Amino acid sequence: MAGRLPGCATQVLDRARPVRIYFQGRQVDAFEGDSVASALLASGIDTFSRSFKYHRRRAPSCLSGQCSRCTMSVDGRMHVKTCQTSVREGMSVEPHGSVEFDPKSLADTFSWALPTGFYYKYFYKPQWFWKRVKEVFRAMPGNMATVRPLAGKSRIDAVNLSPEMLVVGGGLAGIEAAITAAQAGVRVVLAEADGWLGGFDAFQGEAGHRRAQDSIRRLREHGNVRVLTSTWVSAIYPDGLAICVQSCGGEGPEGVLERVFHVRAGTTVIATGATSVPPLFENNDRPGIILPEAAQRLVHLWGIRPGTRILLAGGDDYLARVGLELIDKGIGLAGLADYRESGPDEALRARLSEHGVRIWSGYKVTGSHGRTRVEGATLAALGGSDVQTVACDTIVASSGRYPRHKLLGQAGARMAYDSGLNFYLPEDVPRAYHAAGRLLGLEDPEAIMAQGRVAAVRALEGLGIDVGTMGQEARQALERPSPLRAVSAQPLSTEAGKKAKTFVCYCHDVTEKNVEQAVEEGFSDIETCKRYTTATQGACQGGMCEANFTHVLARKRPELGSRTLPTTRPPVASISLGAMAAGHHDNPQLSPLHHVQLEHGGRPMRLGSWIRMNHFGDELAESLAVHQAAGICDVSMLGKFRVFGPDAKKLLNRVMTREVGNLAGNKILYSSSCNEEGILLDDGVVLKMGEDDYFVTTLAGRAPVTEEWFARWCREEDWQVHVVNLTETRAGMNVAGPKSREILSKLTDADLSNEAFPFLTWARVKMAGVDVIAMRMGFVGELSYELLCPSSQAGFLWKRILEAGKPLGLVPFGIECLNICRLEKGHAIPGLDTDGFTNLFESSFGWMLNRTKTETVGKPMLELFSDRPLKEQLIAFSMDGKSPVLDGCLVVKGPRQLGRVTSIRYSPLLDKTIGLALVEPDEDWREGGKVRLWLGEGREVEAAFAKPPFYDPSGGRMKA
Amino acid sequence: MPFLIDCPNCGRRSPYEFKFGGECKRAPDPGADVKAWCDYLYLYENMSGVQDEWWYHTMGCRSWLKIRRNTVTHEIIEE
Amino acid sequence: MPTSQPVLRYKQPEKRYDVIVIGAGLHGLAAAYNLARYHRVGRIAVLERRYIGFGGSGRNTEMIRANKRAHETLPFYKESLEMWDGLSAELEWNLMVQKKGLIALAHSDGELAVMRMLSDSQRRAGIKIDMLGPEEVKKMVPSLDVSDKPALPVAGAQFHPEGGTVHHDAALWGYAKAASRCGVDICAGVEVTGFYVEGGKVNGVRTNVGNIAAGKVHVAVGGYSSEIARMLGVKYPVVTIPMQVMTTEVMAPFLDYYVASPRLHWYTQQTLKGDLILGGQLDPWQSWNSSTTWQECSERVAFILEYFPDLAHARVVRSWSGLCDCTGDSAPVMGPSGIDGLSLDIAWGYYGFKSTPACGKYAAEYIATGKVPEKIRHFGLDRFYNRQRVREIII
Ligand SMILES: Cc1cc2nc3c(=O)[nH]c(=O)nc-3n(C[C@H](O)[C@H](O)[C@H](O)COP(=O)(O)OP(=O)(O)OC[C@H]3O[C@@H](n4cnc5c(N)ncnc54)[C@H](O)[C@@H]3O)c2cc1C
Ligand code: FES
Ligand SMILES: [Zn+2]
Repeated sequence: MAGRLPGCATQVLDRARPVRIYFQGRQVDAFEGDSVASALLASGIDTFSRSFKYHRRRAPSCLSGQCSRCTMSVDGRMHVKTCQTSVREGMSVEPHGSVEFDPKSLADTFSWALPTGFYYKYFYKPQWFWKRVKEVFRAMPGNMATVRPLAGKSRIDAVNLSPEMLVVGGGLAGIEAAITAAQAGVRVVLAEADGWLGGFDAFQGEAGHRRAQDSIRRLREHGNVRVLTSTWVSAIYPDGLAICVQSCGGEGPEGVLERVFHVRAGTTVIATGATSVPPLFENNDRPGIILPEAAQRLVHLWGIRPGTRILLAGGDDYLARVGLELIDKGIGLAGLADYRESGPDEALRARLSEHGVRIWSGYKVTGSHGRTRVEGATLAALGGSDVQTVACDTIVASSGRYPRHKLLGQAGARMAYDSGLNFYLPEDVPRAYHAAGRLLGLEDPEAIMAQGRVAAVRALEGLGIDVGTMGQEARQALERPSPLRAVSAQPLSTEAGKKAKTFVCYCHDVTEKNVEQAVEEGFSDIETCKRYTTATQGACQGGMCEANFTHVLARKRPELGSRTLPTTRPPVASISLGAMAAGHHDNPQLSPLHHVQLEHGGRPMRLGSWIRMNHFGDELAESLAVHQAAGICDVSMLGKFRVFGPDAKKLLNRVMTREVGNLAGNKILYSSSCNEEGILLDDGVVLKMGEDDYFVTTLAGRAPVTEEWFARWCREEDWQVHVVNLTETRAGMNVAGPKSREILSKLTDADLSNEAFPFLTWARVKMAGVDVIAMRMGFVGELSYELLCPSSQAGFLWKRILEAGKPLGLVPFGIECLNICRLEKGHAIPGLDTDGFTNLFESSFGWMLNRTKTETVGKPMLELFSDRPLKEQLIAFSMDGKSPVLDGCLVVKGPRQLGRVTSIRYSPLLDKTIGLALVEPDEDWREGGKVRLWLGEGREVEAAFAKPPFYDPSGGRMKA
Repeated sequence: MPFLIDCPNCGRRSPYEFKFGGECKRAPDPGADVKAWCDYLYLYENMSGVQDEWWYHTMGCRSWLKIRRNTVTHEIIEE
Repeated sequence: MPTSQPVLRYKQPEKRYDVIVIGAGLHGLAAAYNLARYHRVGRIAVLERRYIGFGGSGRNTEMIRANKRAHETLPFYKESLEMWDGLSAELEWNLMVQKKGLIALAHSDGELAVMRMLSDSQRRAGIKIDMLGPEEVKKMVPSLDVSDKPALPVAGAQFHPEGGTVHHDAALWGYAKAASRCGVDICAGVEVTGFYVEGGKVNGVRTNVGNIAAGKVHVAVGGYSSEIARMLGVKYPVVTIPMQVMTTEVMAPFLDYYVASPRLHWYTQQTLKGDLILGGQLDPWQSWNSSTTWQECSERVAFILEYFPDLAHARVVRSWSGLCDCTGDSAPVMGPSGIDGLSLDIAWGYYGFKSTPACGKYAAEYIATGKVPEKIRHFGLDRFYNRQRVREIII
């Protein structure tokens, strides 16, 4: 087949621009415009891949991205459909595995031993045998890509588009639909899988080419159509989202490899065309057996001879027409086998005969033979008599037509089989979708174009767009009848091939016999048969095999009556993980103090959606500094809210376990909240800023949940209350330690003395010129001020405080130190020291339940169970010195598992390891009791039960 | 299956912008018994068909909406 | 070479059975098989409205494991995991059991703490578990990125060597074949539409092909359990939520383990065939519709790709989805229903595949004896009324 036909207008090649690519290291000469597959075929390469089960030679059969038999690794990227990939200078192309010599092809010879589902029927015992066999299984499949480290990340862009209309398919119907919509003034996106427009007509010789060019020229007159070529619409979701993946060819950081368009169109016209159904005969998978469309593409687009002696086979005049085109190009024919008794149309037959082409009417191909590719075919009359052998190097064959219906199916349409036409036609197409063109079985170009216009008109009308006289004209044009032409299905032999294989599903090497056997074994409905045989489940996802699969099944089970197709699931065209992931980014939240803390040596870590500082080099030293001098810690991630309005109190009394109504003056109310089960959710403080005006804090990172929670508890009320999330507007820092008053006093005129500003009160102060809300709280057990300031000034204030505090020993500290200090005080953190089952009483927060108010969320359940024994409780314990016990350690008692350590840290101040544990109630939880921690089989350590706080039990230090 | 929700404040939006808040239920009186409260908390009609349910527009107006939806077809039913 | 013997044998239902099992998923088939094989209960039918394996049993991601959280239920899951070993031989059908090992990644110290706790609890129940550092994980899964490039780097992992996969279709057909051979009638296209209950006792079911009498009815309808509840005029503690998963084109073996990130809700494994299964997250809302969405699939892939960057050009060929009936405590409901003769095996969410062998065994035991076996004691409906919910959830 080597050598090219002379150039002509229909070709997509630029012969002035040669391109070299490398196939297995060997140079292959190509032209700009070639696909990798066309270049390889032109250079005489026959075998592209080895098949999945039997390692048979496989080569392109569709050249339109549907059969997946041309996939190879290109420039290190696996599973590339070479027929859909344009050549680029220096491209390196490798098949998946060795194709020329493949020892595993022995599987083909021994396939008699591998009946349908053989892997279920054998090897069920003994276990050890299966363990060995499965390793053999893993290594067996053909055409397996190898995962290799990638040099770098390819650039894959994600783009959102929302045109009024999306047109899928750039053939005559699609183009016409796009033009119609463009004329109506709407924005259109037209997606076409090929690198050019024209669809079927692009490769229908000169006449088709002219038609296509004419349409394209008219399309180009419209500025409001965005044409995306080399773009597969991978999936359509019923809410109108279409995923269109364009291959852009670029590699490396600057070149874009793929572009993923997320298209949300108001309406969609699907004009994806139809395709020939592969023929069913023995060894119908040999290289050299191609679909008629593929033959036409080779000849008209790339100027490649499919072969030198071509046998045409099928039951459709289309094949005769393709034969005449081949003759026209000077390509030799071995004849035409037509399984219709009547044979091809009179005129076509006459013209073929003129050229001395032998025609067998009422004959079908029953098998092929050859070594590396087709060398001949056997024909037989339909009844099976008169078997003949014909020498040929290529078989161009089809056994009917099949709509490329999958996108339509995904949009929600049903495909109904029309037995008269032997074609599937859509039914119940959802409102925003319209089908057009060859997809509907149309063949006449005029009818296809008219129908494309009608589809667009209907689509526009569906959008409520005035189409003026266009609608009238389009409909009139369609009134000229263009009846669908029946294409007869290939008659199946009464008996599936005895020995040689007739492939139904190529991707998974499923034969006609396999399907029949499955039905005999009871796998008779389409879904179970599909799973048992694995037919239609391979790379082509049924695109090439569904028609034959249902055909064979229907013959075997005529009682099923109507033919159904397997469920269509996205994607219709395989899509790379890179393309799927495009546009996803991690968006962590940064505190306004993030950068200034990094400057001061903070070690960041991710906690939920926030990035926080774990420590600043030495958490133990930090904790000692807090106790001896002072420390400063970023607490900006606390949720902060303003809750105000005449009904603010009502809302807060619902979500808070304590009574808010009594809050007066500058007091701080420390409270918690529960869900309806009484499970502890959150703790925080409430400040009263004015009449019906409250400021509320919640746990770090919980702001979005809290906001939703507050909204949830007034969603059915007609209350005058408003909640504003201030979290990002206010930074928070905790300045703690015996020297904190002295340090902060340097920056403010306000009186920070204990008398003027006692524990558990708050004040508005100006600090270093910044407006600050200061709260005296005791989370870390020392005198401390929690300062809330505008986020914009947080960095400034932090620096000023550090400057002022440095001479007095102030250090920045992170959450590790915070953990040590709060454990010294025995403070539990909801969600960390409690879990989704711990109710308020079981946590250490039970004292916060106001028993008199009834509206508290969770209170009914807490009351109902208040007289029953607790399921668990939070206890504290300690050990001398440093212990290796870590968070999560189990608390046990003999065989019983009582619970787990929720937080445990070494306190350098106490020289003790102290912790909290969430455990079942037990008699040991008393003064002098032991807490047994499980370190592994036979290894336990004991800790002493303790009543917190471990440090400053009277609280004198924090209240000082 | 994807669908779109008409938010009265923000317009027609992807449900991925929302948090699903579950079927609409009526809480018992605070003084009701354990059975009533546990039924309310743990049992669901879990309708295969049309039900009223809550959605919170997290990435939009941040309000709770009551939506009537067919959980089989995902059709949103206007009231 | 075996000849074509029927594997699946569908029957027309008779008018009366001793036991009716609703649902020909794995749980229904396993219960019927165990009843027929190990108990004397008379005639048994499995009624299925679609076909064998229409529900979750034919759609799941085949993960089997026993490293669950609630220590009181570990013996159940451990037994189920062990039962898979002998099942191929028992059913005379290769279920393709692969105990290839499960690696669950942790991304922070906090997660490691939870994982250590789980591991210890599982070890105490006799389940083999190891904790791994990032470097050890890298040795086992060379294609995994354990560097600090991902937003949430790999901080360590738990290794569950006995975890793995079983071919779900093989299991379905194996149980179906064995059940048929033990005399169970498997009836497809038969939809239960109502029940006959009298004096608190079940007498039979209504179906699209007529009434069928039975003194015992076992509900194993997977994600559809609330429809059964409606027929009975009750509610169950479940919400039906779909789960979506994907598969890719085949690749040469490169991933020997099942790798999961519980925190980020993704998991992936390479099947015997060579394709990757990708998934791990429930849909964010209740639904009875099993089509897939771009948002969910692309987000799952984005996470997985962050840890397997060399898979950027691997290609997804199919996505699908199945319904999971989920309880708030991530544990199932098994045993009494409150109606005499009517037993439940529902609410298996996204974790019922692994439990099949033990569920079959204990459901059959309960149906035959009327006594709740110790191992499934924690799965009763009563747990919702006495604060005895199973502590399966990790927060
Ligand atoms: C995507 C996905 C992934 C999963 N991955 C895993 C995993 O990795 N590991 C794991 O352990 N579990 C997994 N699961 C969960 C597991 O699949 C299920 O828990 C399990 O299959 C439940 O089996 P079943 O027999 O109870 O129900 P199903 O398999 O759902 O069977 C129920 C059957 O009942 C039939 N039915 C329903 N109503 C009626 C009626 N009225 N009359 C007659 N018939 C009826 C249905 O048609 C169906 O065939 C996953 C689930 C999904 C959806
Ligand atoms: S030849 Fe490339 S997909 Fe068919
Ligand atoms: Zn909104």
